[in-house]
Amino acid sequence: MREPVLSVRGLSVAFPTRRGSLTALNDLSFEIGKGEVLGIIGESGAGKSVTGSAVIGLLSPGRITAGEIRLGGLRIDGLDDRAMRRIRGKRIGMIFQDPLTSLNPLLRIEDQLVETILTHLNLTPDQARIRAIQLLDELGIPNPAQQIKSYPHEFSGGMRQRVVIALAICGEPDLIIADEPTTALDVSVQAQIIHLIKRICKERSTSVMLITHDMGVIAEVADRVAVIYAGRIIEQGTVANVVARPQHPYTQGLMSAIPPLERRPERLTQISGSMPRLTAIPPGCSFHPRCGFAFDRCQKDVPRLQGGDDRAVACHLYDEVVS
Amino acid sequence: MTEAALVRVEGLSKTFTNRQGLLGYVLRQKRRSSEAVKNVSFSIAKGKTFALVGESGSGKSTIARMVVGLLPPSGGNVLIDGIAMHGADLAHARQGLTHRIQMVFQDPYASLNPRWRVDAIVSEPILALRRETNRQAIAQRVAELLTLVGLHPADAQKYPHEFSGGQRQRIAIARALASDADFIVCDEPTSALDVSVQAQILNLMRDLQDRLGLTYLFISHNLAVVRYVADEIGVLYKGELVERGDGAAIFDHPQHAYTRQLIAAVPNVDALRREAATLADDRPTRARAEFP
Ligand SMILES: Nc1ncnc2c1ncn2[C@@H]1O[C@H](COP(=O)(O)OP(=O)(O)OP(=O)(O)O)[C@@H](O)[C@H]1O
Ligand SMILES: Nc1ncnc2c1ncn2[C@@H]1O[C@H](COP(=O)(O)OP(=O)(O)OP(=O)(O)O)[C@@H](O)[C@H]1O
Ligand SMILES: [Mg+2]
Ligand SMILES: [Mg+2]
Repeated sequence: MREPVLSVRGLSVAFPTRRGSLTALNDLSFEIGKGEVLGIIGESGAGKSVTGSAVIGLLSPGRITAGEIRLGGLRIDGLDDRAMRRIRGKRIGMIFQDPLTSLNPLLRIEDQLVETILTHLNLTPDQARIRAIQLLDELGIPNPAQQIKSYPHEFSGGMRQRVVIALAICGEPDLIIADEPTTALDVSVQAQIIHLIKRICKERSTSVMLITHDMGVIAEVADRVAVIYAGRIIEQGTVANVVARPQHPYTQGLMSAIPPLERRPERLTQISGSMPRLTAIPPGCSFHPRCGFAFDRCQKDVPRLQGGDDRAVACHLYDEVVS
Repeated sequence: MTEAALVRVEGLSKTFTNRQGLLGYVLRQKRRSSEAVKNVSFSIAKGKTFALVGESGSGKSTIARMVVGLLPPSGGNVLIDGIAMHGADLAHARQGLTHRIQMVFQDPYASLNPRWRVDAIVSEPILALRRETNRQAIAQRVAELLTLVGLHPADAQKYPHEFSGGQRQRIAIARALASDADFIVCDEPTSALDVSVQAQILNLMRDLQDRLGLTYLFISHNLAVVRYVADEIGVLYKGELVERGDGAAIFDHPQHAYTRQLIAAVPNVDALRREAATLADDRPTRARAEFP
C-alpha cells in the first residue's frame, strides 16, 4: 500500500476508573489506503468504537497512552480541540448507528446541511444550498428540492441515515468512520445504504473505516478486515482471506457461528465462554482460555501480529512458519 | 398442526389513531389513523417455533404485544390453550394463563432494572405469582435457572451493569423461565449481539425447547437467524401476512414478490465461503495439522 490515508501505529488507549486505569486498546496498528474500506469486527466491548473515537479525537474521559495516528502523513493525535474540530467533518466524516444522534430534531435538513457545508467549504450560502440539494439527489432522496425543507422526524429511518451520510460527506472528507451504520435498519434499507457507501468510495476515492458486527455487510462492502479481541487486533487481511479462510481460532469460531441462509443446520457452532473483562485479561494470549488449540506458550507470551497486508495473524500456532 | 395448536391467532387487526401529542401539535401534524396489522391468522403447535419476519414498521412488535395481552386488538383474537386473550369473557380463565406466557424484549439494557440485583430480577415472577414463598427454595430456584442459561449461581449477587449484553440477555431469558412459562415471545432477542454470543443464545433457546417443550413466537429481521430457529415462518408486509411456510418453502421457493425481495436484500457470506472452499489450503503446516 502506498501513502495510506490513515495510519495507526502502536495505539494504546486507557480509561480512568475507580479501581485505576483500564487499558481498552493495546498496541493497535493498521492502515487504510485511498478509496479502501477497512471493516472492523469483534465481540461487544472489544474496542471497536473506542478505536473510531481515538481517530476522531473524541475519547474523553479516555486518553491515548502510546502510539500515533497519522492522517495523510500528518500526525493528528495530540492535536488541540480546535484543530481537531477542523479535522472532523472536513477531513474525517462520521456516521453513527443512530441517525438521530447526528441530526438536530428541531432544525430542517436544509439548515443542518448548509451550515455544515459552509463551515467546511468556501462557498456562498446560495451555492451551499445548491450543493446540499445535489448531494441529497446523489444519495437517492426523491424530490430533494422539496424534501430538504423537512424535519428529521418526517423521514423514515433509511432516509435519515442518508441525510447523515450526506452530512458526513458534504465536507468532502478523505476518510469516513461509520460505526454500525446499518444496525438500526431493516435488510432492504440496509442493502441500499451499503451500496451507497460502496458507491461513494468508488466515485470519490473516499476511504472508510466500517465498524459492524454484521459479517454479511463486511463481505459485501469491505476490502480488508481487522478483527479486534479484548483490545488487540488478532487478525487482519483481505476479506476473502479473513472471512472465508480465517486463521485465528477466534476468527474461525466467529465465522462458523454465523447462521447460514442457505440451509438449516442442526446446531450453530459456538465459542464457549465469553470475552474476558478488560480488568481481568489473562496473561499470554487473551483468547487462550477459550481456545481449543492452546498450548503452553499461549499462557505465557502475548502473540504478535505477524504477516503482511493480505494476511496477518497474532497466534502462536503460526509462529514457526511465519517468523 | 391445528389439533395440537397451543397458540391460535385469529383474524388479528390493529388500527392506531394518532393522538396529537405535544410534538404533533408543535409540528401541526394531521390526526390520522393507520392500520398496523390487518387480519393476521396463524397457529403455533406446542413445542414449536413460529417466526415473523418483515421490514421495519410491518407490524411485528404490534402482533407480539397483542399476543401476550399487552395491547388490545381492534379485531380478531388470540387463543392460548383455547382461552381467548382478549374480550370480556373468560377473564377468570385468563388469570391462570399469565404465568405461562413470557416476553423477552429486544433490548437487554432497557428491560432489566439497573437497581435490582440479578436474584431480585429473576425471582420477580416467582414472587409475583406467589408460587413459592420459602426464601431458601426461591434462592435455590434462581441458582438453577442461572445455571440453566449458562451463568454462575454466584452471579445472583451482581447487578446488570456487571454483565455484557449477551449475559444480560441470558438473565432476561432466565427470568422468562422463572415463571414456568411454556410459551415465550421473543422480539428481536439477538439483534444487538455479535454472532458468537448470538449463537450461544440461539443454541440455548433450542436446547430449552427440546428439554422443556417450550413454544416460541420469534421475531427477527435477520433471515438466517429465522431459518435456524423456526419450524414455520410468516412474512409480514405492511401489516398483512403475505406468505407462510417452513424454511425450505420460504427460502428455496418463495412465492410472494416481497419475500423474494427480502431474501435478495440479505448481505450474504455464504457465497464468499463457497468460493474459498474451492481454493487450495495454504495455511502453515502446524496449523493445518491442528485444525480439521
Ligand atoms: N467512558 C468509558 N469509561 C470506561 N471504560 C470505557 C468507556 N468507554 C468504553 N470503555 C470500555 O472500553 C471497551 C471497549 O468499548 P467499545 O465501546 O469500543 O466496544 P465495542 O467494541 O464498540 O462494542 P459494541 O459492539 O458493544 O459497540 C469496553 O470494554 C468498555 O468497557
Ligand atoms: N402506539 C402506537 N401508536 C401509533 N402507531 C403505532 C404504535 N405502535 C406502533 N405503531 C405503528 O404501527 C406500525 C407497526 O409498528 P411495529 O412496531 O409493530 O413494527 P415492527 O414490524 O415491529 O417494526 P421494527 O422492525 O422497526 O421493530 C408502524 O407504522 C408504527 O408506526
Ligand atoms: Mg461500539
Ligand atoms: Mg419491532
